[in-house]
Order: sequence, then structure tokens, then C-alpha cells
Amino acid sequence: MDKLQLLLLLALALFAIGLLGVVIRRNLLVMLMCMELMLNAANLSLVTLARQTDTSAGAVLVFLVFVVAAAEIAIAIPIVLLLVRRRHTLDADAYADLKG
Amino acid sequence: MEALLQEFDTLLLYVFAGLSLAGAIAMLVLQHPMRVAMALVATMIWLGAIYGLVGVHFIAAFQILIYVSAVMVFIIYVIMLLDVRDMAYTRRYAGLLIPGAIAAVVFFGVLAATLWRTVEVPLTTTAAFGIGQFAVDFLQQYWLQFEVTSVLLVAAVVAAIAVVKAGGKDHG
Amino acid sequence: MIQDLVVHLVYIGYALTVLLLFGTVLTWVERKQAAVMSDRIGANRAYIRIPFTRVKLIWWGLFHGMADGLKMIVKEDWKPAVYDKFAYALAPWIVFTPILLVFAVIPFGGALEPAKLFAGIPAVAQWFGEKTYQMQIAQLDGGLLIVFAFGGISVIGAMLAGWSSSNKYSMLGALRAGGQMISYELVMGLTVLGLILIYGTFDLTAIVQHQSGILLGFLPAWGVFYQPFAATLFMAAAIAENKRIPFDLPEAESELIAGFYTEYSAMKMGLFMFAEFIEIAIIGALFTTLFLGGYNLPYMSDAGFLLPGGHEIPLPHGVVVVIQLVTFLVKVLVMSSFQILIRWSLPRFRYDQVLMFAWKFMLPLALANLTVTVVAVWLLQ
Repeated sequence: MDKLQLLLLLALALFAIGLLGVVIRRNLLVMLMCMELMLNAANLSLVTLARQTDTSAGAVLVFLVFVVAAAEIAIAIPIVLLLVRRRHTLDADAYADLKG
Repeated sequence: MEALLQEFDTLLLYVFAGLSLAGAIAMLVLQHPMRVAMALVATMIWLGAIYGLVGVHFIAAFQILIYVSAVMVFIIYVIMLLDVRDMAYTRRYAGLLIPGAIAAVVFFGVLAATLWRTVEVPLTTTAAFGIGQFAVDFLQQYWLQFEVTSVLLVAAVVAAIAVVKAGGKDHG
Repeated sequence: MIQDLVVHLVYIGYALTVLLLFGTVLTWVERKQAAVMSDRIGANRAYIRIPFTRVKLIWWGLFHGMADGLKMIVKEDWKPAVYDKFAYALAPWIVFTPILLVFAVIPFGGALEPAKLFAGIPAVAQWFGEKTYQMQIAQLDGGLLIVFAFGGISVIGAMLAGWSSSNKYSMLGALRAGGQMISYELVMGLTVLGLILIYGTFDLTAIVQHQSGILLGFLPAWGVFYQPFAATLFMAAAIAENKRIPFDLPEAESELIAGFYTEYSAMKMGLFMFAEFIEIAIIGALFTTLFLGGYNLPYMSDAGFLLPGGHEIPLPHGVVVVIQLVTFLVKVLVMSSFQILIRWSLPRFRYDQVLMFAWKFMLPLALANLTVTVVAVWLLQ
């Protein structure tokens, strides 16, 4: 297993772990953090493959992903805070209004 | 001597990859959200180390600057402000634990099988693009993406202010 | 290859020695300078007695730093019933380590040619060959970015420290610390943008080398002459980042006992204090590298002096290396002494004043400075 394959497999493993975290954890903030982990994994694969080419298009795309992640967190966390103010709990099961 | 340093490079890469994987798995297992946040900070720092090892030092600097010292500080600030006696802090996993785990393993297995190959493709060892080249390209060739980024950030700031104001109006 | 390793190990040893020594010496400088400024004598009781004699060495209170360190090591490590033991134990190290790492990209000397330096010992000179090394631990082209990146990791340590002690006042201190450090980090980044525009690079070595020219015919081309306003703003923002007086709110002594490190005792608090003093030296080093010409004397470069009027004074390589090392240390000491001067002169801000100062006063001023710089550079091209 060479370096390129190791890094791509690592990105894949981190993505799967992040996805698993979003599905199985109950706490809303932990779910948000696992989404950040998925973004980081995608970034790792982008950086690894961008390193292979000579242009800086890959680096520009990586920078865009950084900016999008930061903007997403800036909105997601106030939304979570407002939700918690209504239901007074961070438990994801308390927001199951659409169920059944 | 060169071969020894190459070996050391590969060894460091394995070590950093293992540590970031350990941090990610710790995120799934730990209970308190603050400890999960610390595990995520550790994972992000090890990923930054991997970027530095691969040769793109300025992207490693961006990773630490944006993720660790902005995004994670924000998340840690919010965790500090929320209540401890919440039920979500005592029961860790949702009902979809077993199906979710099986699905994730199948997902990983399928994609890893497509990614696996027997022929080695080496990672480029030439000098990576530097920050000067990146800056020039970003502002000349990809200027549209640059402007779109700034519009996105302004939209995020406006939306955050709107969300906070809307929440304030609810409670009078 | 192994020559590179040896040289870089020497650099790392030098950097660690300099930083840890600065941390201890600055505690003495703080006490003594405060005493001199307030026309008193200062702390002069700690002494070392030469064994078998009755001679007590006081040395103007230099041993008080050693006495403080010894006291902190042997003090009882009181373990309070904290909320989160792991975060409580880890927080001082998260605050302390990144500050040492920032020094990795700061150049403390010019180009080092070991062959010329060891010309008297032909075996060593031959082993090094024709290699030249920049006196900087890590030569990265994004050096200034790495400085800001590592500076931001300490925020997490301060917040964890306040949160994990189950103490209302520590929590308040942690919230204040987090808000303040983030705001001033942003301002610090914006103030140096004009300077980066003028020099055209993030690499700290290149910035120092750009500053060895001549400006307007008689001034050395230092950053403080290109951007005096940005220099003032940077100094203010850096002192605020370090949580020193006048921006002392997270550890306000008369309000919050000790702020976010109230529940820490012995060496763990020693680490926080030590980190603060080392960061004074690091801020001094950053200021000298960006604005005061770095490791060079005025009009000096790696080859010798180039005075206005065209005179050149070439110097041998060993002399240049020694001058550069000593100049860097002296400049860092002067800037640290300036920060201590500010600390003992100004009263403390109120917390809402601190944040208003950052967002409503310094941020617009930094942006105005950047705009003026952009227009000036465009007009002068």
C-alpha cells in the first residue's frame, strides 16, 4: 500500500466514521461535529489528489471547502441554539415531530 | 541516508494516519460533547500534520487557522454554555446503532474494494505549489470563485445575525 | 543530509534555550523594571549563599525567578474536585506548547555557512562542504500564516481550563478569554496585511531581507517606517492577545481572583504564567521581524554594511553571525521591556470596552490602513 492509497483509504475511513457518527449519536452537537469530520475527510482526499497535478486548481477547491465549512458552522450552531431554547434538550429524539 | 529519511517519512505518515483514525473513533465512543470536541480538535491537528508532511504547508496552516482556531473554538464556546443536566448527555446512542454500524461497514467495504489496486501509484515528490503561485492563480484565474466565496461569507454573517435576532424576538 | 540534521538540532536547542531563558529573565525584568519605574527597590531578598562562607549573593533580585520556579515545583499539587479531570490536566499544555512552536518560523539570524565559520578546523569545514543554512528552524514560504495558526490553538487551552474547573468565576474568565483572544487575533491578522502587500511575501526570512535596504535615501528600510500606524495597531492587538494589562480581564486580579486559572495550583499554574511570559518574548520577536528589521542592524545585510551614500563595509562571516544573533536578542529584550512598561502604566479596560475597542475601533482602523496602503502602492507603481 503506497502513500496515495493510504491517504485515500484514510479519507474514506474518516468519512465512514463521520457518517456513522451522524446516524448513531443522539446529541445534536455531536452530530454537527461528525459532519465536520466528514468535511475534513473530503478535504483530505482533495488535497491528496490535488498534490498529484501541477496546477493550483486543487488548492483553490480545498480553500473553497474550508470557507464553506466555516460558513456552515456559523449558521448551523445558532440554529441548534434556537432549537434548544424551544425544547430545552439537545436530544435528537425530542425533535421527532414528523415521525409517524 | 536518503532511503532512511524516506522510510522515516512513510513511518510518520502511518503514525499520523493512525492517530487521526484513533481521534475519529474516539469521537464515536466518548460520551461528553466537550470530550468529543477535544477528540475532533486532535483529529484536525493530525490531519494538518499530514498536509504538512505531504508538502502543502500553507494548506496545513489554513486547516489549523480555520478549523481549529475558529470553527472548533466556536463549537467549544457553545458546548460551554449549554446545560449539563440534559438527558442527551447520559444516553449516548440513538436507536439505529446496530443497523447504522452494519451500513457504515458495508459502505466502507464497497468503496475500499473499488479503491484497492495492485499496481503502485506513487505520491508526487516534486515541490508542491507554493503560496505565491496559489495566491496569483486564485486572484487571476479563479477570481470568480474568490468573489463567490466573499459573497457566501457575507451571506453567512447576515444569516447569523438574522437567526439571532429572530430568536431574541421570541422571548420578548 | 546528516549535516542538515545536526544543524537543525543545534537550532532547536538554541531556540528552546533562548525561549525558556527569556521566560525566566522576563519575570525578573518585570519586577525590577516596575520597581525602577515606581522609584522603589523591588524584590531583593532571594539569595544564594556560597557554601562554607558567609557571602550571600543577591545580584539585584535575579534569584527570585529561580525561587519562584522551585516553589512551584515543590508545592503541594492540590487536586480539586473538578468537573472534567482530563481537560483540567491537559489545558495548561495546550496553552504552553503552541507558543514554543511559533518560534520555529522566526529567523534569528541570517545565512550560516559552516565552512567559513569553522575555517580554522579543516576537518569540520570539509564535512559541511559548501552548504548554506538560513538560521531559522523551518523555512516555509507561508511562515506568517503558521504564526497566526499556532497562535490560535492557545485559545482552546484557555477555554478548557476555565470550563473544566467547576467554578463560576473560572467559567466567566474562560468566556472572557475566548471572546477577547479571537477578536484580537483577527485584528492582528488585518494589521499586517498592508505590510505583506508591500513586501509581497509571507516568508519571514524574505521580509527581513527586504528590510536591509535604504528608504528615501537615508532611512533603513524597516517596516516601522513603511507602516508606522500598522506597527502601533499590531503591538496593541498582540498585547491584547496575550491577555496582559491593559487587556487583563480574563485574569483580572481584583475581580475574578485569578480568572480562568483560579483552580490551578503549583506547577500547572506555573505553566500558565510561564506561557504568558514566553509569549511576551514571542510577540517581541514577531514585532522585530516584521517591523524592526529582524536580526540586522540598520543598513546591514548578510555581506556587511551598506550605508546611505554608497559606502560599503564588508565584514567577515563569523562577525556577521555573532552581530546578527546578539542584535536579535537585544531587540527582543527591548520590545519585551516596552510591553512591561505598558503593563505597569495603564489601568485595565472594562470587558465591554475591550470588545468594543477591537471591533468598533481597531478593526476599522486596520482596514483604513490597508486601504491607504493599497492606494499608495498602486500609485507608486
